Amino acid sequence: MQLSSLATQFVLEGRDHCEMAASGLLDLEKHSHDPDVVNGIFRSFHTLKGTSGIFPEYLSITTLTHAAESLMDLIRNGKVNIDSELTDLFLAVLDQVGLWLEHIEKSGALPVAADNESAGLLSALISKKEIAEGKQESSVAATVTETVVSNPLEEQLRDWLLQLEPASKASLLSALDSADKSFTAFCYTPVSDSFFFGDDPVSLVHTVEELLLLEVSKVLEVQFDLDYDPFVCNLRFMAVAAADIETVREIFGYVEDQISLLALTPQLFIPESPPVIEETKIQTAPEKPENLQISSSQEQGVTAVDAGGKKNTYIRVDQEHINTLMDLVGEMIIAKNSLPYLVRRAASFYKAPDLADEIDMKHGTINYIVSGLQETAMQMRMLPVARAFERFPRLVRDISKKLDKKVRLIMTGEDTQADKDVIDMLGDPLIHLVRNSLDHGVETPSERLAAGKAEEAVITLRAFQDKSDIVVEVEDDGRGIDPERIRMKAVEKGIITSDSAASMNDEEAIQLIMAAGFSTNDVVTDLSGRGVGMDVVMNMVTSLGGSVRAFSTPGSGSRMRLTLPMSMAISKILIVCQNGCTYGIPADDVMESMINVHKSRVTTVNGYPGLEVRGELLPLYSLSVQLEMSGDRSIKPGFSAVVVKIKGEAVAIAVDSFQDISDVVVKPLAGMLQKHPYYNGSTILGDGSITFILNMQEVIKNANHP
Amino acid sequence: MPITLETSEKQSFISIRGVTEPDEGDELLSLLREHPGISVDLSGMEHLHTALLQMLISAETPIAAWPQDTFWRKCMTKNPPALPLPEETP
Amino acid sequence: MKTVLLVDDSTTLLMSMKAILEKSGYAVETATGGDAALKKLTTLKPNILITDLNMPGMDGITLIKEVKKNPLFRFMPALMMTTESQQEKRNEARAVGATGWLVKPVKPEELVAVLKKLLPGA
Repeated sequence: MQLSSLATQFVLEGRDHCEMAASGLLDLEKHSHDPDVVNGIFRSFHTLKGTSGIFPEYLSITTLTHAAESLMDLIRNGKVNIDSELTDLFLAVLDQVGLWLEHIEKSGALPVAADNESAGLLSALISKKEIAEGKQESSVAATVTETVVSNPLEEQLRDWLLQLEPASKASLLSALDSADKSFTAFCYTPVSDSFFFGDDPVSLVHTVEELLLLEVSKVLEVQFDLDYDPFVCNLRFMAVAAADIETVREIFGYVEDQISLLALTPQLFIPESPPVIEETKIQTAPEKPENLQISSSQEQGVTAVDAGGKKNTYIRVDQEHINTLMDLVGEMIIAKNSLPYLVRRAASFYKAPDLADEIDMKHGTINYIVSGLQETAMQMRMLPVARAFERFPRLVRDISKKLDKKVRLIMTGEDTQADKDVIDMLGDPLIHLVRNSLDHGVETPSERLAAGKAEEAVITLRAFQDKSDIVVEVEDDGRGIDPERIRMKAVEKGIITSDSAASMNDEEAIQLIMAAGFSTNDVVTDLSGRGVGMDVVMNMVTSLGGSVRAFSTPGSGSRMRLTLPMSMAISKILIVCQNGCTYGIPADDVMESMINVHKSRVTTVNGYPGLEVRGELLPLYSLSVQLEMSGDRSIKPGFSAVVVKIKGEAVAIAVDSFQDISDVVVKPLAGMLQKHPYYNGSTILGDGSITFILNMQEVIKNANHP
Repeated sequence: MPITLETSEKQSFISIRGVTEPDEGDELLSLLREHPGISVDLSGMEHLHTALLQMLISAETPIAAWPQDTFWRKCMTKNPPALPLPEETP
Repeated sequence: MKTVLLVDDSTTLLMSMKAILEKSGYAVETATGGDAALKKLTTLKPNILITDLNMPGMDGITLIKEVKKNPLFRFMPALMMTTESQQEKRNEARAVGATGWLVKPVKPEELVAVLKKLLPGA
């Protein structure tokens, strides 16, 4: 079901608030009672309550977040201390809201039994609050508290009154003082589909005579863009009228569920002890703008535009538009790449060298513009890795609690950026790795103490950029991986022979944990699943054109390193020719290319050919042999060679010849070719021909020497 | 037609007159989209349906002339004046 | 001038309400049943529909539901006349798109006040 743009906005914002509140709660656990953090959490619940209020059908959200907000308010006022139990309760509330938001996004509505789902949480919140207030009443009996589960709209109204300009407050107070008239404050939040009920909310407000104050605001910050729907009501009216409450109530008789009223008294302008520091208006920019350049939602994203250093302005952009832009840029690159062919054709076929020169010059200009365009378009898709990291504080907390292990999580390099697709797909492999660390790597506190280690283990999530790759590491200071056990296990499982196990060094041996069907822990836990983890991680990462490497020091910890391309959309390739076909080799893999190699540089060592490059002898492979081509596979005299670096090792590949290096848009393979290990994708070259991009790691894997 | 596009040599603006109906939302929306930043003359406006009011607020449309009824000015001013506007003495 | 379409099976009630409304400056057209009202709707293009709940043939709720199907009348206010004892029907009416309700017997001043609220600028 297609959500209205208002509901979509609500889901997006709601999710942000859930995330902010959850990370705030985890912060609180670490730094006892930071008032800013407490206020932040309170605000998130407050906003969730307020924005859900304009959708009557989401009443369950309003009710639940309202209860959470009330309890949080007591914490904020120092009347209740937050403990681990309360943190769990609040986190469970946020989880519930998160699930509901997901349900809304998928089906357009809350689950039918939403109220049942939250009943337990709701009563827990209310009883916590009652206990706290009970205590409070006995101690401070004199204070009159009228906060008997008041309705959320009414609280909004109170907040608004408290936040009025001092001048407005003063004049209202003096009006209250002098006149024997009564004054009524009201907050009217029409339901989003109120126009379709024939309501004209502003007309109702206008009917109220003698409005002393009126503020009309948007409930959700909706942009006036192409998705703007004029017939979804998104306004809130806050006002003070010189009329008694019954008169105002009567005017809003048909919409009484959308209005709250307060008879104005001077007390309403006195804030409860600690002053309420909050905003009723929803912020336009997210609190951590750098974390949100493109939101994770399927429908929409947020793009950052730096508006003069001080303040970033963000516009939400439909992700579809960005994808279309990327596609168009890709098409443009292909079109641009045809210009050199045109230059050659103008010179040799049409015999017009001057024209060829002119086209060539224009090619330069277009090249320049297109690369700027490409860079900007790619930048729009870039997201900080924080996006993939943000779930881990919670995950590590919950799992370590469950396992009775003490773990501290350190995250570094969260602002390292990568393409949205890479960031999105990074999540699952990382969960596997972190769970593995928690489950298998980190020891129990007693084991750690016995081993002379600190009781609390440290798991580090680290991201950094390495040329055009993003590297993400998961490191723990646990028991590490025992290469001997890995060797045994791998032989036992028939993954390798005992001979090759013996000839393997330790570093190679521990890579075996990534082999399919390998698991080091015999005990199946519900946390890491049935030990299918590592090969799944391996497959996910390689499917993105990346690699996984394990490092370990037995007894002192292990480190898993994922290396992924920062951007998958456009890449530089070297086009090579072999047996009349063209192939693309990712330029990042290429260290060097040599034309017309003399046979004398090829030496045979132990029956395998090697190529001498700068005094070093590199293994030489033939592309035709590696790709199992039919026909003549011999290395011909005057061949060309490409030196590529695979897993840190340089090897030479013999090809017939090569053409130029080109920027191409790599399209994923579809259909039958999808499973083909040698190819990463395909692309269309400037002359319109289709070329496969080689996955060099796979091509070299089976060393079929000629 | 209560909603019209007025063009003179110097500038164009949208004029909204009389009582508006929600259905006119589409019309106003397309005018606002076709002329970003255009201002609106409300001097002859008697009633603005909420859908249209909301649109003017969302598009942050500059108001070239306010209607006689000060209520509308309060609706569209971000920080409403604390006291009744000068011309509105009960 | 704003046009009101009044629907009720009682001609007496129609006549009395019509008189009140016309005196207050509204144009009034009447229909004695849902089907008749639907027929008049497209040519009349009323600004508001006021209908009784219980009528022979099509009842008021079905009438409002049918009317709201026509995009021409998607924003048109619709009022339902109910007796005190039919309160539970109000939510049902609201759910199909009714703006509100009038309690029978309808007091003239209340009727005029409600219309003033729902039809601004009249």
